[in-house]
Amino acid sequence: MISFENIHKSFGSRGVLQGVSLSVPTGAIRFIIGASGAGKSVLVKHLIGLIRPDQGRISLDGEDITHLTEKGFYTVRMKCAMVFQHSTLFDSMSLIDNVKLPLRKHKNLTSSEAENEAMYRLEQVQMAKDARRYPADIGDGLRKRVAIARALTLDPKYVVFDEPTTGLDPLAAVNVDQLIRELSDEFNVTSIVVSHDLRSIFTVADQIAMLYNGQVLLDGTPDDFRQSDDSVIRQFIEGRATGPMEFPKASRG
Amino acid sequence: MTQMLTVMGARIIEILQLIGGIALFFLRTLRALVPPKYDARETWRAFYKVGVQSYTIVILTAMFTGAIMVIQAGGTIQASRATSFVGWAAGFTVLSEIGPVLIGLMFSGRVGANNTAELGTMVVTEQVDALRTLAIDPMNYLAVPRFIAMIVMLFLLVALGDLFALLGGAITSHVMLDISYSVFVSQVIDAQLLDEYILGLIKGSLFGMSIAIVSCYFGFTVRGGAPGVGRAVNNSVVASAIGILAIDLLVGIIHHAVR
Repeated sequence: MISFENIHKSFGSRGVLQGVSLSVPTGAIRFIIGASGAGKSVLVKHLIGLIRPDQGRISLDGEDITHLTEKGFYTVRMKCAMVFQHSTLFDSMSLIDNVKLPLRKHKNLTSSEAENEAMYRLEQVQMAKDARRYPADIGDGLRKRVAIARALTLDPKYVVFDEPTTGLDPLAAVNVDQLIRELSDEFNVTSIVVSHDLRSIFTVADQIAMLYNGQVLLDGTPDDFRQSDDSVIRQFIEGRATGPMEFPKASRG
Repeated sequence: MTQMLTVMGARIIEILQLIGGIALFFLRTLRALVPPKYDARETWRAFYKVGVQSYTIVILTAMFTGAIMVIQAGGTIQASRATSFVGWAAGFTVLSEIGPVLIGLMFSGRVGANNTAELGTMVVTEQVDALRTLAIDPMNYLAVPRFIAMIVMLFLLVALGDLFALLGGAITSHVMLDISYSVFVSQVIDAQLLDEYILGLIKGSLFGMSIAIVSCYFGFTVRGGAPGVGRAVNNSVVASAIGILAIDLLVGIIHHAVR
């Protein structure tokens, strides 16, 4: 169970998060949606300690992790993986070495065991044939698949996906959606997915929270969103450029 | 006047902050050395990148340095017919002073700049954050291997460079002053320059340490995307050069005092 309580975060004078509270039950797939700059990535980065809140409380499995030290967060990160928006594969390593890195550092495996395990993870995302290539040699979509494989190597209980289907072709996007669903259904992995992808949102999400003006505008199921009369939510779902939605000024998240 | 003082004051505070930041980074790196948990593969990669890919440029720099020393002194030595001092003069200046400093500056421009650019790019593309999310300490994984590699390899590169500097000096002496190779070598040996050679190696290690800390610091503290990386590389090279000259001065003073 993940819980964010009354999270505030500002960068300079701009309050990106202004009292965000939401929870994610174990095994659920929670989508966080909102316009670019709404603070979605900022919120999820709090969970793994990449960003610290100005105010509020974050708990994981009942443990308050808000004020853990950087070293203290390592235990959190062992069970809570993150797939970044821009993949963030290590350029100096081949794809298989990227996937092997956490295995080498944290699992007591022989070299061949780590190789086999990494290859299995790459097969899961249909990237085994490209295992010896380097991140610079492949496209964004393929890099994203490898980043997902790398994030899953430590068998995390929780996975944060930051826009996992952005830049993927429709088929690859469906594969990623299926993978997220399988993680939840078969391994009881809890996922937090930051996304703009309406198809993903309405096919995979168990729960959706929409961030708007630094707060949670609506927290509910996909059906709650479909049936919402809120004009901002309707504008977002219908993808209209004009409407009541105020777009945040350029900033992070 | 007030505005000028304000600007100067702000600049001084900025420099003090920078020195403080580098000093803290140095202490954090030393702290990360114990217990030794650094990654063997990354350390080996750092040794290869820092050393193996630098030796050609070091050899060239050293040979030119030795040759230039002889050329500079050649006219005076020939005029005063003191050709028996050529080996001593070239050895003395190259081994303790010019060799390590020039090799250090070349190393800083090549390896230090490259290191800042690599780490800075990793920061702006969130690769360093990705390491942290994999529960891997960037200090242990990235900074410590580079720190060790630069100290060890600059020591070895100066040791190698000194030999090639003397070779450059010997070739130039032979061509310009008609001094045979065997005479040049015996002059260097007779000059008993072991102290200068060791002093140069110590300087090389200290330069390596300084370049490692400065280049890693500027790499890890990059802000502002690609232009930020460019600025960091620029600052890193300038700060490394200042560090090399400051260490050279400090070691020179200490050496002079204990002699």
